[in-house]
Amino acid sequence: MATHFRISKSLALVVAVTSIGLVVAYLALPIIALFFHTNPEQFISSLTEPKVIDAIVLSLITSTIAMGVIVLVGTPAAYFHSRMDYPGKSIVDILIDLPLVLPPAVAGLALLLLYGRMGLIGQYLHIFGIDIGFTIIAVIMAQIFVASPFYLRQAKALFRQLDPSYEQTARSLGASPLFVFATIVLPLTFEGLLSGLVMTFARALGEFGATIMVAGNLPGVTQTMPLAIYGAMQGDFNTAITISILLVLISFGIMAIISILTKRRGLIA
Amino acid sequence: MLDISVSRQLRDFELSVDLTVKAGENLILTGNNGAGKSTLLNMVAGLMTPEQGHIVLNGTTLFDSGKRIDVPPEERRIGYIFQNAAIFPHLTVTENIAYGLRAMGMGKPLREKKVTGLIKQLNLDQLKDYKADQLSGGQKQLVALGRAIAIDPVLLLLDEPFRALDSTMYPIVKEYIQDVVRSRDIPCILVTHHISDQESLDRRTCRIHEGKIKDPVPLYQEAVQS
Repeated sequence: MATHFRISKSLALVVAVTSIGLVVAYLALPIIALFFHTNPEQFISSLTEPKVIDAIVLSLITSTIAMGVIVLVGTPAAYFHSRMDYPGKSIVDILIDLPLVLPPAVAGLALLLLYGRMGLIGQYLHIFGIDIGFTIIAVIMAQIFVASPFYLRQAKALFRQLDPSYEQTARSLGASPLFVFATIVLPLTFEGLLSGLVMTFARALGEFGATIMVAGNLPGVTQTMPLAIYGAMQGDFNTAITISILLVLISFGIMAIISILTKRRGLIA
Repeated sequence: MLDISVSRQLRDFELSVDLTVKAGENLILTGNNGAGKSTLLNMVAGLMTPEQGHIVLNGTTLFDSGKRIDVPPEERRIGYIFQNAAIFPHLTVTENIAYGLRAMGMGKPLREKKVTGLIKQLNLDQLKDYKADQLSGGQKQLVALGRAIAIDPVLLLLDEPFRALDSTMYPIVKEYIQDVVRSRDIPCILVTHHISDQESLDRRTCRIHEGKIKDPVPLYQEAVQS
């Protein structure tokens, strides 16, 4: 019996080490490969190239604006969605999740057919001299479209989990709906919302497929970091690696922030 | 005085209640789960809208379907305590009790004075910096009571206030409720399943069954008369 137990215990250990080792190797090796193909001097020199700086600045600006729009519109939308029953609510749920599974190229094409010069809305905007396609606005719109589910899903779940008796008690104590939201709802969901927000920013920063379809790849205008990697792959391999490493570092930092936030939330709960 | 005459179609039955609660009276509301007790309290508090009827408190109309009056909950000044006490988990005991006063815009010095007095009165000095997860069920109820009393309510609504109490806290909370209702001369509706609460707290007990009041007769008086 004891021998049998020892064998199954060592078997479990072997399976655990092998499977975890495989997962780590599969995910880490490509990242390590990136670092092997460059050195600090090359990295620094590529990083100071104007087109790289342009791509970084553009990426940060567009992702920040996209994140801001998602928070401003998405927070009340997610709150009322989770607190109210209305016809077609389940369809709205599906719609919110759709960009997660929709190929970004499809999202880009769809946005182009809506806001492009010949698009459903775009053709009328064009009459007033407003062209969205292949501009920085198109970049932001593509980012909002693909990144919004990361925030909305998180916000919806947090608001749904929040016991309504807190809000109801606060109202009966004399607090206006806005005061309740600011002093009860927001503090109780803040860390969760923040981690959703960080994920949204990360997704917007890495957005490629939809952006190239609706905004093109114009250096200094619509060329974000992922698009700059794609552009540099044609000849300037070092630049491609530099931007990739930068994106890896940012992504790693973002995941670390989320991990800390999640742990803190766990402690509070 | 609180005058309620409301109706609303719920999922399985129609809630239709006519009830009057006098100042200083502690009306006990009993009934099975899902009979409509909490729904009635929510309507009085303004958290749920009746389809028909009126709610008048001390001559002020809080709700009237005919006149299209529906005063929002924050303007009703009702001390409503939920079953779970709903102590705001991110705030301390002191901050919880001060919440309503802060929401009403009361200045800090006045607020602190009032809250300190309530904390002393409720014997919560030792717990004033604690948060909800450090409190027992009974302590939570006391904090919820203090928080509701702080706004000087004109009506008390208590949903199962004794449910989470142990034998030590039970008489304390019960006595405090009785004291508040009597000394402030305000109407109170108390939802409970405890038979003993009905005996000792009661002036009048009503049983609600599938949305209708079944025993509107003042039981206490009836017993005395017979």
